[in-house]
Amino acid sequence: MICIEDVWKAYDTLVAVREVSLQLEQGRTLGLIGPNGAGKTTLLRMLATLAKPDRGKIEIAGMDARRHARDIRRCISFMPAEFGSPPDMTMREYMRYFASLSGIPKRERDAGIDQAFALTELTGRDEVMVRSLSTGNRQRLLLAKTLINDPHLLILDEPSSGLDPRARVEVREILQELAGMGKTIVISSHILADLEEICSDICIMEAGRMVLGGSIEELHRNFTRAHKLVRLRVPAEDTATAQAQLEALGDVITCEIENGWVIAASALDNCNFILRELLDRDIQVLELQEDKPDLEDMFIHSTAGEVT
Amino acid sequence: MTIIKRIRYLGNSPTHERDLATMFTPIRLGVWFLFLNATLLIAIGGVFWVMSESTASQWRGGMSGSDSFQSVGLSDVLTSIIFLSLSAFITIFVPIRVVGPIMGPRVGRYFDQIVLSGISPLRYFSGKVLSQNVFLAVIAMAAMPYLVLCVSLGGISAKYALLGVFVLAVYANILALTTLLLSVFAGEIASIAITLVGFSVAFMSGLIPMVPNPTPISPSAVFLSPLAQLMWPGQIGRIIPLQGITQEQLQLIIFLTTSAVIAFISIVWLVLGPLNCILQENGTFGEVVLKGDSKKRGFMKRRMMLRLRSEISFFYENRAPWLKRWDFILRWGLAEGLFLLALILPFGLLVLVPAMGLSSGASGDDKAMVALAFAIGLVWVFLNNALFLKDLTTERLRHRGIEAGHVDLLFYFVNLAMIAAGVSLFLSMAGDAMDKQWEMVSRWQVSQGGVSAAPPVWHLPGTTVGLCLFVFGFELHWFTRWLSIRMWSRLSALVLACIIFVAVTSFLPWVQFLLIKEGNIAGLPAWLNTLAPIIADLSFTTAPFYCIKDYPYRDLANLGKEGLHLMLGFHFSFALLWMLAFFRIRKGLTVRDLN
Repeated sequence: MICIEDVWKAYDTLVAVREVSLQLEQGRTLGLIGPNGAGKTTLLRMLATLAKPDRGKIEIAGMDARRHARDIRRCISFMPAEFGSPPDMTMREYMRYFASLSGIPKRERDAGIDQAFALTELTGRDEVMVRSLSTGNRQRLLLAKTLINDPHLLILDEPSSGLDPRARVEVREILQELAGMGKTIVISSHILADLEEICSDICIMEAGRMVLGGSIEELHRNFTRAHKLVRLRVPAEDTATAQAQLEALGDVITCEIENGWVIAASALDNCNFILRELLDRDIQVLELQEDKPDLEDMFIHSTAGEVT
Repeated sequence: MTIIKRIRYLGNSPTHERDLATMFTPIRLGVWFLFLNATLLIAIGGVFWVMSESTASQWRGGMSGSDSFQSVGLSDVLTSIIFLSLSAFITIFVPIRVVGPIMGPRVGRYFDQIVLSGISPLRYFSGKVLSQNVFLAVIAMAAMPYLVLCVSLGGISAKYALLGVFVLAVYANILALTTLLLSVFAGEIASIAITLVGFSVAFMSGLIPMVPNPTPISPSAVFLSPLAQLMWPGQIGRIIPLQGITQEQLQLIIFLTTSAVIAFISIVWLVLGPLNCILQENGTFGEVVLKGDSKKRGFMKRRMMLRLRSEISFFYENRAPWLKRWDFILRWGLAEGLFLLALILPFGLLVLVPAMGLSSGASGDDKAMVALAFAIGLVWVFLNNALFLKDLTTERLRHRGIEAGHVDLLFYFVNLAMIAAGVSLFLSMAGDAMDKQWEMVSRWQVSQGGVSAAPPVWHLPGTTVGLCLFVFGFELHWFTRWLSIRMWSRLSALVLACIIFVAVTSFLPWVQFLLIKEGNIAGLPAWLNTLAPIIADLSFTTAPFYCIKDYPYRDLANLGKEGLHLMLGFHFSFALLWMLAFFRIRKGLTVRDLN
């Protein structure tokens, strides 16, 4: 569906995107992560044909984004980070306006709008004025508008930005539903937990470069820490003993106590030796957790805090 | 696609639907009806007041009411007044209603969404034009009782009333198209200002009782001509006496022909869009910026035209593929066609209008003929400059492999040569009076007494005027280009260049008057007074404008007896200065080629 090859984009002397290459199959969801100024929005705008790459090639559904912008626009939809609307419109008028822009025939518009409203849980609020909507409902409306032309590819720039936790969860659920419908989604967000749940693929960007990319499974498989974290809960009176015993072990790099948990950093991938040591000392292990690397770990590990 | 389907497709425009949705609210309709009725009643009341015997004689001096108003029926006057009021109403409100299809989405921050919807510029803008017809229908409906009254009073037929509404519809569409065209090419603030002022002036000049009125795009001329014919039969100026066609019909033909030309040009250029180069030096979100922009303040930083990449690309990427193939021919072909039309039109008028005929060159008022040639030539030069200015917006823009700026430059100089040839031809055709009187004489030679016996004569006055216009065109082009680079606005540069040249050349005859007529100027050092004739010779031959100015100023300064004074060397030195200035500034700019 998407093929990006060695794409560069500069604004005057500022290189916003450099050497980015990635591919995304139909029906998959790509999450773009990166600090502010990493080039995510520029990359999204290039995907949405709003900006042209200075160098490199972007293909969407087999069409060159530079040459076939008009054709590509018919099969994609872009949800910007910023909400914009003509003044004094109700939600249905807003949807009709954008449906009309997309060239949807009059007789088919209302059915499409109802469908989009149902998906974004906005049904029954047709006559509410857009300007009076809360941030959460604005984002839903923007998402509904993005769906009005039944796009194959959805490009979403920070759809959960400014939302409260409940609204965030709702938007996440909508996106999961859309992914389930076979839509290809490219989404940029700072909320890594959401992305981890929604996305099948991840691209971490920093200073215009893609520093890490691939499917979630691949990333988990390939991402290795220098050490493995093990979290243990032991009876309160044994906490200090457990820490001392583990620190004495050669393969335990560090051992700390945090909120009643004993957290040991193991040099070995197999942590059975830690459990064996504690049991040998008659320290009861009430709970044991192995800390798997999540997106946050990957992000922190792969970025150095640079901005363009 | 059939025509009906095409119209339905264009009617399916979001701007049209949006306008309809906002137009048919009870409050808005009520306000429109009230406002329109108030306008009509005030206008009709005013006419009744003017028609009363006492005020009529007061307003029209010696001409009594029985001479004029009483010779026409009440319904004739009422009909004209109603249509004139409606025209005035449309002149003000249509541009106001039309403006905003670019600024609105810009301010509302959803222009990108419009671009991404894939809508073509034609469908987007057509909605605005179509909705003006609905607006007109509303207005016509509000004015219907008054028109019915006129018909029932006798004098006018329902056919005439319908024709009047048709003229109003044409006018409303022309207004809408012109406003949209200017919005795209010059920005919406400039658009509303130019349209309101320009069409108001045209409306007012259409009120001059002259049949046919030379204002080509004024409905007031169309609506007033039948009334003027009735009121002052045989007293008003008849410029073009054509056989088999009434003056009213001629006025209507002029109006419809001009409207058709404007509509054609507007539609094609709206569809093609502005040929603005998408510069690589754009801001984080695509605004076109240039080096040093962050340091600029106030007016110099403002750019009224489309400036976001997505805004400009909207016209190129969302249009029909066939337009891409025909873009080059349509764009430059239309501009050149328009220019050639303007070039040929004065000659056509000279052939059509015996009063302005070439034979009048023998009438003795030869300077008037030269002034006319210069006036027409300058209009051509300015038009050429407006159409083919190689400004920054097209700098390094490649269009089908050819640099757009070079094409503009080529057309500009070819046209300039045609202007020079046209003016020379005009003056050569104007009669043999040229050879007798219009010689090139240096005023310095005059002051030295060198011309009293045998003045030096170049018997090529027509060619000289043409050459002078060519040099002036050269100067104007570089000057406007320089301004456009500084201001990044073609329109502002054109306007400013006009203002500067008019201001400078208006001042020159006064310098001439002081230096030549007054002789030694008190307070000036003696050596400067010695040089005064030479300085004067330079100063009052700086621009061809002077030649026009010379005609009205001639009596004031009692000048021009010796003929025209055109010093081409001075123009060349001016041109050289402009070029040096231009290259100096050009050096500081970096415009990279994106294509």
